[in-house]
Amino acid sequence: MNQFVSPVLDALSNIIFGKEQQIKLAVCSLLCKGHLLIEDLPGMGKTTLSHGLADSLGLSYQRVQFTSDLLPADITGSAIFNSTEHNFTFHPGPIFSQVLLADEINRASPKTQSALLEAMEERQVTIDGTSHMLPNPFFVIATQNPLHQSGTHPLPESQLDRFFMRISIGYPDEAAERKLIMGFSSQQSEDVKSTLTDEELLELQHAVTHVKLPPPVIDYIISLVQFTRNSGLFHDPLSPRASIALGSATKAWALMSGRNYATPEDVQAIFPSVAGHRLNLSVKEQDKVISDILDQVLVPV
Amino acid sequence: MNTKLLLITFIYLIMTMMLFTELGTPFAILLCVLNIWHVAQWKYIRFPPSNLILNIVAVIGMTVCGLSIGFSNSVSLFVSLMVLACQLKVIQAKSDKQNKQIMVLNFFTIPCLFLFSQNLFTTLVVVTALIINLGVLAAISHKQLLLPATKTAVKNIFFIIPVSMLLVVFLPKIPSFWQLPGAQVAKTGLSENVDPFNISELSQSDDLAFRAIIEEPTSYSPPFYWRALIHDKFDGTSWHMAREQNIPVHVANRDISSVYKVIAEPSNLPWLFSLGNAFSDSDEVSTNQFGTLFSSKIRSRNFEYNAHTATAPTKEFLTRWEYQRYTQLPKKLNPKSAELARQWDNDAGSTDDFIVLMRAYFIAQNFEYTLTPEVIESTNSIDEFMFEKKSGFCGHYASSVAMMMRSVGIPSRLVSGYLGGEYNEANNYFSIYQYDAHAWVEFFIPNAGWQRLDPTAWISPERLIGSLSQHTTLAEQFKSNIGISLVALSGVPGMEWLRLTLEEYDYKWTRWVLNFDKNKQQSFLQDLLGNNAQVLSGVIMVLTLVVVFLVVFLFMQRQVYIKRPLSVELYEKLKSVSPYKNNNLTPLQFISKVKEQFPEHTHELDEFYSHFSAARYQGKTFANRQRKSTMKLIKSIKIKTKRKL
Repeated sequence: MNQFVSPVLDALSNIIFGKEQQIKLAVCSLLCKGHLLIEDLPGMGKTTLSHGLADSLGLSYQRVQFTSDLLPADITGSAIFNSTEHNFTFHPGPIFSQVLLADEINRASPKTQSALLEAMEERQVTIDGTSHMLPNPFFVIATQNPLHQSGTHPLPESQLDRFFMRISIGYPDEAAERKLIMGFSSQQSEDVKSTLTDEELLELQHAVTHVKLPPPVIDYIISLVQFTRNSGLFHDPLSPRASIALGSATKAWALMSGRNYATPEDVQAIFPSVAGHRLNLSVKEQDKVISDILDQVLVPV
Repeated sequence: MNTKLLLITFIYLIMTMMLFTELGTPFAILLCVLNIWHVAQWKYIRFPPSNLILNIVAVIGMTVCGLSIGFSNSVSLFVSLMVLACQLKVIQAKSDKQNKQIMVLNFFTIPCLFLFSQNLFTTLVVVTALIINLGVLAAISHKQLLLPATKTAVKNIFFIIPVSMLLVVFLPKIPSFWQLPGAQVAKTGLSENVDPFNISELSQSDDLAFRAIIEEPTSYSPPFYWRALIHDKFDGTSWHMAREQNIPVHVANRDISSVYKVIAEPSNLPWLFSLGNAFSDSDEVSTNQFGTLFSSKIRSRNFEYNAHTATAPTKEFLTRWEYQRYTQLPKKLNPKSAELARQWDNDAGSTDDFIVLMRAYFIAQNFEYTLTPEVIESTNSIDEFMFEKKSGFCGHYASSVAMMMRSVGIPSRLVSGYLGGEYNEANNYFSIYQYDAHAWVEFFIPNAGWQRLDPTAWISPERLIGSLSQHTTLAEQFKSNIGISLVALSGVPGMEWLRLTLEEYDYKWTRWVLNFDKNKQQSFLQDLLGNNAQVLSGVIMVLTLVVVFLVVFLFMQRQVYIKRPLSVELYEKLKSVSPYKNNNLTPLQFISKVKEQFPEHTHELDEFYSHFSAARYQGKTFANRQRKSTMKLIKSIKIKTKRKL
């Protein structure tokens, strides 16, 4: 386990019990400078996890609760007339922070969603012809409810693709639930201390790019991607952007496991989270379909 | 600009060196300059010159080529134009496609060396050059490094050797439909006109003239005078060839008991070599009235023939016309020599006495044998030689003696050919080189016929034994004449051995490969297959072809075999013997499953995985010593798996 990463994971597992895998995936996404989508039913700890992530990485964050009447300017900020100076002054919105927590992103109208997603891709906001750079690092951690819930606007596929990973937390096991009821979580959620400085985070992100991706692992990624394209089972096969994401997530996973080289196990670990939403699978069907793919695609030696 | 192409330039350089005498100095120098140009271009400029410059160079090259070689020698001209074109193309080539065209063309250009010589050395050079060419071609077309590409090429060549050998042995030898005019090869040591007085230095070459195999040495004893040409007309300075030399005559009295074989090197003259009066039962070889042999066509390849001694009926007398012919002399030339001969004739009672007196004179006057005589320009050249210079080589002596005999009415003629030869004991053959060329006299005695007289032997009796290269007193002169060659280095220890060994291999090459002609093939098949040789060889041919095509077909059908790394091979092996051979598992998952199944092997499995992951995922090499322990592990897991099932 990487010496910088393990404190972060430890801190997070103190607020989300029994979900080490999901926590690791979330951190992995951030190490790859990728935006994270957390999808689950209400009350499963999505918001807790996203706050914890921002806290533990020591990043400044702002939270926006997406509602159906939220406007793009509510996120990006707008120019307001200054009556003393007789000019328009730009007032940055909540997006100008290192982490933007977009709660229930699929409750907002497509117009607002797309304003956010543009900022995610470009890492800058253009208002009245002026471009404003977003801070670095910049992450969006969005949560959304499953699509069958009322009052949701599904994210278009093109915009889903911009999320590096989609994770879902799932129900806790008995022991974890017992702990929750006993009230451990509420006390400790305020205690999450930043365990990583900005520089350390940047260094980790940099270290990810230096992890070795050996030929068998590349072959594996390619066979997986090709399978989604050639098998005819998928309406929306994986894009080259997905292949790149699989590669860097694999590297980050290897780094988090304390190695400077990737193995096929790393690919298997990150594959569901990176590929699931891109294949347009719902959280429910994702597990089965992905494990089918992993069963059918031979692991290159 | 491709570095590999320098090798091709190097091949052209070697070709230029080997064809130096054919190409003429100016053109050879031009080719060398082009070689240097290519190297310089590769080193400093790194892009090809403009087409205009190249075209100008091409025109200059063609002009030099035409001037240097001349248009009469069409084969040399074609070959040199070919080499020029290839060299220019190499300089010009920009793309891999053009380079490949050159390589393919080289498969034609390089074997052109065979037009000029087919001995073992040339063969080795050609084969080496072709291998290099093939390697470069493979390297360029497969984008490989030169060495592995060449290795593959050599492997493939070895693969086809047995096939081509079978084809050589069994494929019927069909006469060619069309032939190049023979290249002007092997400057012979003989010439049709013998003019010794005009030569300051006997041009000597260590090229082979012919080889002879005398199977019954008892029938023939040294010195071996190999007769080739008869000269019957003397014009005061040179002796001209008899014109009837290429008119075949019937030889009645044949003695076929003692055959000897001669393997003649390619030559631009039809005259062949034989001992004494000879006839031959080989195809296209005839005997003329002088008892020498000639071929009905000029040979551009080695040529083997059988010869027998024919005991010609003793001629009792010469016809009047013949007598005139053999005593013909230009009038009023060489009066002093003629006077001297007349004195001896007066003192002597017979021709034999005359010869004795003549011999005594040569010995008393301290005549010398030399390979570097002074040029005699006066019209009375024999007088000057007999009374002033008193040193010369075989031509001088033979010419003078024949002239003096004619002046007193003894019919005589000059014979040129070769004397001696180098004997190879292990294989029982003689090698006769161009420097063994010799001239002597034949004179006629009524009722006894033509007799041989070698005046050179009076001066230098040593010359009669073996080859000129074995002549001790002349060693210095000989070596300086011959220039840089193995013969000249024979004083250096080991060199003589090296030369003789090479010579022996070349002999075998000539005898068994080059001269494997239609007749030899037939007799070989007869020996091998008995009476049904024709049928059986046909069957073998068909079978061979079927096998060859099958092999080629299977070869093309086969899947491209990529050698897997050792680590992968061992992993696959381990997996195939384990209970999980059909599971789609990552290596780590697989190893941990096997560990669960066979906890006693945990340590070995962990060790294997760490090596495996180092090799597959970390770019390190798989330690070869790991192989043994892994094989042991595989074995034990195999046994245990079987037991469990």
